[in-house]
Amino acid sequence: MNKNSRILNRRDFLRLVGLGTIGTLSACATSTTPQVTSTPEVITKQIEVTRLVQGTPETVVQTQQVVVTATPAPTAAPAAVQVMGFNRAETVFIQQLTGTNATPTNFNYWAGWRQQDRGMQQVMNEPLWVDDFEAGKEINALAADQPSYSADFKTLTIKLRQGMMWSDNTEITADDLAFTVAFIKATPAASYNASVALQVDSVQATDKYTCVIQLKKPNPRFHYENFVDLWGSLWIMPKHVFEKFMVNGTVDTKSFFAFEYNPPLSSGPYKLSSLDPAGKWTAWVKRDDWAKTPTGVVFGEPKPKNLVVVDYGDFTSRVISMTRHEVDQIDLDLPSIRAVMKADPSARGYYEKGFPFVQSNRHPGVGGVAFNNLKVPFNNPDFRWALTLAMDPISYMTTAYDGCAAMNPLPIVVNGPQMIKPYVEPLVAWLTDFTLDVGGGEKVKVWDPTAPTRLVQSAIKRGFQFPTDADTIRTSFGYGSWQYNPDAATKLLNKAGLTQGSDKKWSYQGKPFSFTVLTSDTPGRWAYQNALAAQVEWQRFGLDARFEVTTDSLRAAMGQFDVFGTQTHGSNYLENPDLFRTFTAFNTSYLEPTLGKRQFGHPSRWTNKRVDEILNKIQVTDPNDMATLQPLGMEMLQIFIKEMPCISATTSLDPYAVSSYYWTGWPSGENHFTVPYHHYPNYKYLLTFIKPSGK
Amino acid sequence: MRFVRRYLIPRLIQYVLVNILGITMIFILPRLMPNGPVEKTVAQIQDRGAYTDPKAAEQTVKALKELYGLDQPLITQYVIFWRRLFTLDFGPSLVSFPTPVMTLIGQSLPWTFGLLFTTMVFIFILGNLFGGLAGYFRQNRFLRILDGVFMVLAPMPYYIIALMLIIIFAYIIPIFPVGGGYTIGAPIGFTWAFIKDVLIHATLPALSLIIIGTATTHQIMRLIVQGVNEEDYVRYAHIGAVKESTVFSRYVMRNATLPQITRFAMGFSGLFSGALVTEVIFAYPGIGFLSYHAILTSDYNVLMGVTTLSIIALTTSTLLMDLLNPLFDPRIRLT
Repeated sequence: MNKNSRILNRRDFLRLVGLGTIGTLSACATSTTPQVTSTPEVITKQIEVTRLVQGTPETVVQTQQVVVTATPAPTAAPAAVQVMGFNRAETVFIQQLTGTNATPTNFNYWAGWRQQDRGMQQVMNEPLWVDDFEAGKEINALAADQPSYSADFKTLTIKLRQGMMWSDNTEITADDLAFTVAFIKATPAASYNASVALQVDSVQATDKYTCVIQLKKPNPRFHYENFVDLWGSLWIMPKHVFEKFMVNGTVDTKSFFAFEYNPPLSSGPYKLSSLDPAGKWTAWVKRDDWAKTPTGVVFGEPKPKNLVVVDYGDFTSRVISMTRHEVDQIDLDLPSIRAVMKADPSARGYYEKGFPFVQSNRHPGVGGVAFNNLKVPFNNPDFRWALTLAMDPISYMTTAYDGCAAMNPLPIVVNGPQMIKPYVEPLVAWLTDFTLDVGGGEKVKVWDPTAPTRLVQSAIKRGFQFPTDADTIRTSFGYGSWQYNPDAATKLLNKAGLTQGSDKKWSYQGKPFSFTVLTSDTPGRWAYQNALAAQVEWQRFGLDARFEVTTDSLRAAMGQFDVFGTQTHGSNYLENPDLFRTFTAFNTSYLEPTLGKRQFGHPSRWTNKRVDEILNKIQVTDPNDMATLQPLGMEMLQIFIKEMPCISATTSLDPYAVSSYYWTGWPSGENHFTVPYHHYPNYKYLLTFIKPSGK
Repeated sequence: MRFVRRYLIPRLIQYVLVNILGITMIFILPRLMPNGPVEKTVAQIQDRGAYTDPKAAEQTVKALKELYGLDQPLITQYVIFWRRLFTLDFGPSLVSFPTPVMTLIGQSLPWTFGLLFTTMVFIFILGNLFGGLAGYFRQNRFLRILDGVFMVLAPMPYYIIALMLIIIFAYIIPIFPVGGGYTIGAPIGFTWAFIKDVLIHATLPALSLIIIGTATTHQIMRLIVQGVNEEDYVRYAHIGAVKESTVFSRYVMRNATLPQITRFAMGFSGLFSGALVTEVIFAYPGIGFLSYHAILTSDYNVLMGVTTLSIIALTTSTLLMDLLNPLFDPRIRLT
C-alpha cells in the first residue's frame, strides 16, 4: 500500500482480498475428526462374536475367524470429540430413510403419517411385538407373551409385561392398550381406524396387565395386522395423555388431530432430546430408567447415550459425511457403498469382507416386475413365461444390482429362516422336473440351479472375492433362477400370438408390438432397478420394451401400465411359514376389474379361483397350524409359478454402509444376529450389542 | 390526477385481475390431477407391501376426505379458500395434517429467503459490475481472463458446481460442513455463535448460487453494455471529452442496468419457490423441498400456499417496478 497517497492500488487491493479470504476461511474451519495418517491393512485374527439365538435374549459366545479391515489409530485423539454438538464417542448418527421431516414438531403418530423412521419407531416406541426377520420369530416387547386366541378366533387375550414405564414414570398397563383400541375404533381417519373399527366388537382391560379384545368375525391374524411391528404397527397410546380427547366414548377429533404430542412420551429406551424445526434432524437421549423398558429387560442397556437421526442430503454428501466420520449408518446405493469403502477403511456395507455389500437374502419383501394381468397379451401365461425366459438372470442382476443381490425368483423369501424347510426345499425339488409346454407338444425345463454359482463366478472374474462352496453361495445368492432360454421364449411368444417379421421386430394382432416398463421409484432403489433391468433384458432379446419413470405413485394402482417394478406380492413376516399375508392381495375380493379404477389389491390384478379357495381356508386357520397350512401354501406357490403373474427377482434391497470408526459390533452378513437396518423398529435392540471403539 | 385515472387505477385493476386469475388457476389445476392426496397417502402404505382390505381402504379414503374437507363441492371449497386467503390462512396441509400451511411455509421460508435474497444481491452487484466493466473496458487483460472464466462457468450445470464445491471444501479441504442449515443440536437463538454457525453452513450453498448467477448476469450485462457503448449519445460523450469514468458510470452503466433491475425484481417470485437442487445437494432447509413434496403428494393446500405467495410476489414486484421505473430512468413519464 502506498502510505503517502492513501490510495489503494489494484495489487494492494487484491492482496488484501486474498489475506481476508484466507483469514475468513481459517476462522470458519472446524476440525471435526482426528485425521487418519497411517495406512490401513487387512489382517486375519480370531474374534469373539455375540450371537442372538432366534431372537431371544439368550446369547452365546462364539469364536470365529474373520478377515477384518484394521482401522488405523488417529495420530492425536482428543479426549472427547464433539461432532455436531454431541460427544461423538457417546452418540450414534444415522440417516433418516424417508428424508427431511415434513412435520418436524409433530409426534402424533396415530393422527397420520409422521415419518416414524425419525427415531420414533427405532428407539422411542416399544410395540407389543416386533418382527425379527433375521431370526425368524416375534420378539415379545410390551407383550409378556405371545397372543392367545379363543378356539373360535373371536377373542384375543394380550398379557402385558409388568413394570414397564412411560418416560414420565407412569406405568404402562392394560388400561393404555384397551384405551388405544377403543380410541382408534372411535376415531375415523385415525391410523388403523379402518382395520380396528371393522373388526373389533369390544375391548376391556380385565386386570392391570391383561387386555381382552372381542372381534366381530374370527381372525387368527388380528395381532399381525395391527400389533406386530415390522415397519409400523398400532402403537399403544399413553391413556393419561390422550384421554382428554375422549369423553363418554366420543372423541373430539378436531382437537385430537390438531394435537402435536410434542414432546412425546417414550415407551422405548430413548426419549426426545431436541429437533430441527426445519425437519433435517431429530436427537434422542437414553432414558435414565431404560431398564424399565422391554429393550432393557430383554436385551440390556443400549450403549450409545444419544441417537441422532439426520437427513444428510444426496449420495455425494452422504459419502463425504461418512468419510468425515460424522455418521455411523447411512443409506447409500451400491456405487456409493464402494466409494465410501475405498475412501474410509472403517466403513463397509452389510458384509465385513466387502462383496456383495448388501443384505439381499432376508428382507421380508420380494421385488421384481408385475405384469398388468388384465391387459392383452399380458393376461396370457404363455406370454408372461416367454418374457421370463427372455431374461438372462446373470446380466439382469448385474444391471439391477451390480451382481450383488441374491436371486429370489420364487414368490417367497428363499432364505427366510422359516421358509426353507416347509416351502423352498420342496419347491426346488419340484422345479427340477417342472416343464412348460412351449407349443407343438414340446416341453422345456425352466429351472436353472447353477445361476447363483455363475453369478459368483462372474463377480470373481471382476476382481471380487467370495467363497465358492455351495452352502455359502446358496445362503447369500439363492437356490437358482429361471433359465435364460431365448429359443423357448420365442416359441412361447409365437404360442401367445406374437409374430416376428424378417426385420426381427415383433408384432401382435397385425400391429408392431411395444410395451412400457414403468417405475415410480428413484434410481438406486430396488423397484427402479428391477424395472430397468427387465427392460434392458427384453430390449436385448429383441422386444420393443420402453422404460418409463413416473412421479405419480398411483399409476400402478389405477392399472395404467404394462409392466411395473414393484414388490411381486405382499411382504412376508418371516416369523412363521404362514403365507396369508403374502398372497391375500391376490384374493378376488381385492380385485377391481376395471382398469383405470383404483385397485386396493396387488397392482398386477392377478386372481385365481383356486387361490381364492386356499386363501379363504387359510384365513380361518391358526397361523401356527403347519400341518394344514404347509400343503395349502405349497399349492398356492405352485399355482403362482405356473401362472407367473409377476417375475420375482430378489428381496427388496435397502443398501446401507456402516462405520466402525466410533462404534463396533454391527451385525453383518457373516454375523447376522439381528435385523441390521437403522430404520427398523429392531434398532433399539441392535443398539444394545454395539460397543464404543474407544475413540 | 390524470396519472391516477389513466395509469394507476387501470394498472391496479390489472394487478388484481392477474392475481385472481392466477390464484384461481392454482386452485383448479391440482384438482384436475387424476389422484388426490388421500389416494396417494393410501398408496404410500401399500408401497411397503402391506395390503389393506378394500373395504377398510375405502373407509379410510372416505374418512380422510371428510377430515380434509375434500368431500365438499368444488365451489364450496373455492369459497372457503378465498375466505381463508384474506387472512393469509391456506388451511391445513393435507399430507402433514393438521399442520397449517402457513406454519410449514413459516418454517421453510426464512431459510430460502435468507439464502436466495442474499445471493440475489451479491449476484446483482458482482455480475453487473464485472459484466459492465468487461463490456466497457474490452481490452483489459484481467477482465478478459475473468470473462473467459465466466464463459466457462455460465453454461455449466448447477449441480456440477455444487458438487465440486462440496468435494473441495467439505472433503479435500474440510473447512465447511457437508450440509444442513446449522449444527445439529446447536441452540437456536439470536446469538453470534448461532449466526456464525448459520453463515458457515450457508457459505457453500450461497457460493454455488453466486458463482452460476454471477457468471450468467455477467454475460448478459457485458452484452448490454457493448450494445449501449455503440449508442450515439455515448459516442457523442466521448467526442465531447467527457471524463471516461463519467461516461462509464452515468452514460453506460446507468442505462445498461435498467433491464437488469427489472430482471432482479422478477427474481423475487423465485424466493417463494425456492432452490430445490441447492436444498437437496446441501441438505439445506427451504421452501423448494416443501413445494416438491407437495407436488409429489398432491398436497393441494401447500401447493396453493406456496404458489399464491409466489404469484403475489411476482405481480407485486412487477407493479412496483412499473411505478418506480421513473426513479431509475428519468426518460419515463407516467402521465
